[in-house]
Amino acid sequence: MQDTDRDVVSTLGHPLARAAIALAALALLAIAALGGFREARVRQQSLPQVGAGQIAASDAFEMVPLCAFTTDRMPGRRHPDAGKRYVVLRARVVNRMEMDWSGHLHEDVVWPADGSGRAVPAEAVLRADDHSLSAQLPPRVPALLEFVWPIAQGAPATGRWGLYQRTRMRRTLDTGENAWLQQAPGTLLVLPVGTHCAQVTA
Amino acid sequence: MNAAPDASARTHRVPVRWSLVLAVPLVLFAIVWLRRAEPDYEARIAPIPVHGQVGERIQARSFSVLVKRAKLAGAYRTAQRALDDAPPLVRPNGIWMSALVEVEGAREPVAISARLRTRDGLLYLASPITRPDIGGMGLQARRIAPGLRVTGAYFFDVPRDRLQGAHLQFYADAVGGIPPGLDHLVDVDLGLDAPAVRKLLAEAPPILDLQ
Repeated sequence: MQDTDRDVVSTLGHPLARAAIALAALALLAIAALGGFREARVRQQSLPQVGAGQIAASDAFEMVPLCAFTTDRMPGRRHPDAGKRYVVLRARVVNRMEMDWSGHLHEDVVWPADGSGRAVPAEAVLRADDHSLSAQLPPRVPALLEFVWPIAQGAPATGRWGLYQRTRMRRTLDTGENAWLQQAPGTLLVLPVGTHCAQVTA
Repeated sequence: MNAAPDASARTHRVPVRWSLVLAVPLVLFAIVWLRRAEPDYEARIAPIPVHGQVGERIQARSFSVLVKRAKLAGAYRTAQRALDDAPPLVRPNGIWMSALVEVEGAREPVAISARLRTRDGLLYLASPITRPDIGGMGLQARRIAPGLRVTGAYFFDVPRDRLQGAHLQFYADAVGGIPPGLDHLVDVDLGLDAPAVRKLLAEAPPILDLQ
């Protein structure tokens, strides 16, 4: 027997090592007796819910949904888009981050299309006043925005939207940089869907 | 042929070296501590600031910039385009700040971006050249040829209550609006103390015609 083998054998012969092995074996038996490992069940938790005029907030954004409507044209267009329908959510949004990462807002406000659990980001996020696409979101300045989703002709537009939580990580594991990372779903926005919204007001 | 193990070898115990046992957690602690104390990625590649004042030409590695003046406006009236009913009114979410600037590329074509940094560290990127659309006068991220001095403006949508102590910052060839690492970042003190801000706000027209 070589020296290393002898070392291993003698280590295994040590009372402490034997006790540890016995404990590990007992633990395995106990786990097996209790049914073994299985996939953890996702806990269904109800999200906080807000309605029109109430504040939904993540660390990155504060959002007050104001109204929702369906329309036959992209907001700001003069003529209907042939064969298309849209559902529009108008909201007042404040950027709580240190600079304009408005792309995050596009990812964080979702519409659970057709109730299948699929969360769809808006096709367009427009300024509500002039419907320009270059909607900037400078920090700490409330902006009135319209989130637009296309819907199938004749399909009902569910008046439920979701806002994801987003928090700042000082150092992410993959790049080592600080970043605002999307977390779990944060707040449910529930609004009646009408045919129009009242006049735009800031 | 191996000799048969004697009785003393069979009862051999690995000696516990307590100095090594103690050293292992100490080294592990040192590794974690050093890793945490290491400067983070942003600090290692942070841009190099070049400070200056309004009215002073400031030379950076790939461009130079001269801020002539800054002013505020409630909204801009811009030229009517083909499909507009009337000259568009471009409103900000806060208040518009414009900076009249002269820029020049040093060696090669360069796109110079600007942002406003408030005293508390918030960053306001200049608005894209499509908002307000004033033709060739908008400079944000517009590529300019070297050796030609170009005069134009940058526009910022900023809150009225955070103007005091704000600085203008310029940088070349931004990536996603962020200054590239280890390159010059021109930092211009706008001299916005409380009386200067009050004066700017008092002089701000509700609508400024840029047609």
